[in-house]
Amino acid sequence: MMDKEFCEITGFLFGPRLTNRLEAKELRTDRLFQELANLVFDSPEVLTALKSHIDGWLEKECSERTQALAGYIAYLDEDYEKASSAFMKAVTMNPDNLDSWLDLAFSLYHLSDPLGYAIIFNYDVFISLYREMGVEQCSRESLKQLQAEINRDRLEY
Amino acid sequence: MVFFERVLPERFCREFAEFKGGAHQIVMYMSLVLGIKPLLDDWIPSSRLGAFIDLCSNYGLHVRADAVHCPVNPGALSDDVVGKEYITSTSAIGFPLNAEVEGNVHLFISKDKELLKRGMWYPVIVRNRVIEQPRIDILKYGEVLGYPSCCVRFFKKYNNWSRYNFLLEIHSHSEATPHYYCNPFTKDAVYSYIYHMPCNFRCSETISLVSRLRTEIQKREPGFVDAIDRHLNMPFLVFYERKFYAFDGFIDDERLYYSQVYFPDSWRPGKVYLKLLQSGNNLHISDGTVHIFSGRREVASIGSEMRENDFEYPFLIQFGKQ
Repeated sequence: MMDKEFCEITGFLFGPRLTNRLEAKELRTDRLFQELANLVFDSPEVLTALKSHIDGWLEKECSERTQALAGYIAYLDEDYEKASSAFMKAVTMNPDNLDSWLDLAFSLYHLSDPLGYAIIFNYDVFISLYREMGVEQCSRESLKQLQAEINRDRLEY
Repeated sequence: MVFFERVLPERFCREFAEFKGGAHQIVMYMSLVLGIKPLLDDWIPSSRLGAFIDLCSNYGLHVRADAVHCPVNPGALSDDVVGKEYITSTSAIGFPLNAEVEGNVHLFISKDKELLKRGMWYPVIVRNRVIEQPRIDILKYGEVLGYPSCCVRFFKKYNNWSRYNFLLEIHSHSEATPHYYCNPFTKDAVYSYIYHMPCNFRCSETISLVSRLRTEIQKREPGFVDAIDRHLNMPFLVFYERKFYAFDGFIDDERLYYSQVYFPDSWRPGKVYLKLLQSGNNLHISDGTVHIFSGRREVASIGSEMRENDFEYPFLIQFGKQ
């Protein structure tokens, strides 16, 4: 039902969320964010329709792809607080996905949150430390702990 | 008449040109200070960031320093750099502001502190990977910089070097006489009131924007405005993006008569036809070939076989004041 509604609104398939692992050396695996950006820029009414559906879709399906979609919709709407919250949930569900980390970083970037820059400049260290330190939930607090660890060990530039 | 000599404003915003060692973007700084342009971005040597922030503060401008960019030759990059095929000739390695490197700080400047949050990350290489901003940031950035929405949308549609000659598209979408307020050709040589590409050479939104800006600058710097106006009203021969020439002359019945040729852009490869054009004093275009004459004698021609690509197609244009 959700997939059908999404396709009716956007004309795109709402496919599975692929993981962009660091070792794959891909710039980005997800294409949906870019496609939605082009569509919403030309047809702002699409964003209105997506905003009216996303809460219902999140209730129906608690998954990385739905959280990422919620992040995209909020980001396109320039609600960067809501976007960062959704991308943190996407990272929690799949901390190996670089796409989610960078989407989170740019949401924080627009909030002038220094964590945004910290992730951009140390994305690979954040990903590996997240696993090593056994972080269970991505949040501002856990990100600050990771950043403190990075600074302590001078892992950054 | 003298063209393309170094020109600076007498007083208004002159410190920016002196600080930067040139008047590049000076009109955009004026527009910022006058409250017409909402946001500007620029690059300043990292060792001089503090002094630049002080200078901006004197004009009531806020600054957000983004990242340090260290320019790098794309050809010198190792194949390991993820996404290197997507970076342009202006590629750089990015570092955080506290890094002990000498580079240029990318920064955003605005009268409105809140607007600094809408500054846009520029793609740079970080830890062996190109880090790109989300696509929507690029699409919306024109609006943040104060460009007319019609021009932003036109740019989105036609700024594709593999499919269009963007300047020719603007020209072919310009039905009426081109207005000199919409002349973008000398923007990198100081003499322009705009830093965007207009959707046509008589774009009403651009004319309205420039009208406000020019009036305010003229009150403060009339001589500077005279110099800009003179350059914007020169005839131009346009081939392609960053490959166009300005002339001391005039167009009559689709023939350009000239005494001097200038290459106003800074991209050196675009200068390729300068000597050929200097060998004559009048020219006309026929079937896509530029025929160059000295008096009545044809001395050179620039035909399709000399072109950079299929999209390079010459046209003549002279902007007017009405």
